Amino acid sequence: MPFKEKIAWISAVTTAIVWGGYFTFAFRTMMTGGVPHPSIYMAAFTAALILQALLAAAAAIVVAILAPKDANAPADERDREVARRSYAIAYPVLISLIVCVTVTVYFGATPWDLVNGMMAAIVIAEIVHYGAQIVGYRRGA
Amino acid sequence: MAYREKTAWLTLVCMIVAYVIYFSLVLSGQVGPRLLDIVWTFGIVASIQAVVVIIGHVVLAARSDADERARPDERDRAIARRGGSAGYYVLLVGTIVVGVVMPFSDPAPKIVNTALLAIVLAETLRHVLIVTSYRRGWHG
Repeated sequence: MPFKEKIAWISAVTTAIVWGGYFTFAFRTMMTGGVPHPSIYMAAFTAALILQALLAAAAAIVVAILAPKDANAPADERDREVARRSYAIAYPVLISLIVCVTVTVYFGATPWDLVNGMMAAIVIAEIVHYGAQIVGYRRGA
Repeated sequence: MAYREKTAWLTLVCMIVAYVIYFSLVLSGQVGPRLLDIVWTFGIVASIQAVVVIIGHVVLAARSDADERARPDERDRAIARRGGSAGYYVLLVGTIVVGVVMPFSDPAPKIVNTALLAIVLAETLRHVLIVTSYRRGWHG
């Protein structure tokens, strides 16, 4: 498996786990009708950002140690093409989600609803981006 | 100039003109604060832009050879993806500004219009990159 495909897998899995956890917390809070103090949301949000960065970095370091030659190799034409294609696929997804989330501000969404909605949009777009990268490498694009 | 470069220029110019008009209306206070006002004005501007782009495509297609209008080749696809990839980064930054910073400080119409501005900027950069890639003979 190419190094960049491994990184895409790591990014997809850590994003899904960490932000899945954060959104489960946010959704449960919303369903129970509880409105936690903004600082609790802020702490959970910041913790999710830091945790994902740490997990992804740690996993990438382990993969790089196991295959140092692959890790140090510069991106070739195929890597660049896979990256461009995956962004081009995620781009319309992000546009659509931004439009959907933004208009909720007129339907009673609170500031934190908007923050969570936008973060969900980014997370979904990023998972589509990593997924497209993985599919690109799997198909040998 | 190649057919696809001409269509890229057409789309870029129409887009810039249309959204400069829209955001000028917003800044001059001629677009109301209700969602319907924004959707209505943006919808009219975007529809006129789309009609002009479609007519322009038809005219350009009629004036070009069938060979030029053939399916996009590998280079055309690479250029399109390059544009999409750059637009994605701009949109990501715009999403963070609109979704994480503005909800706590700005009113609803400003949030919606800033989100639209982020999308327009991302699309403009995408088309600028497409045009410059053709101009500079970028091959991927």
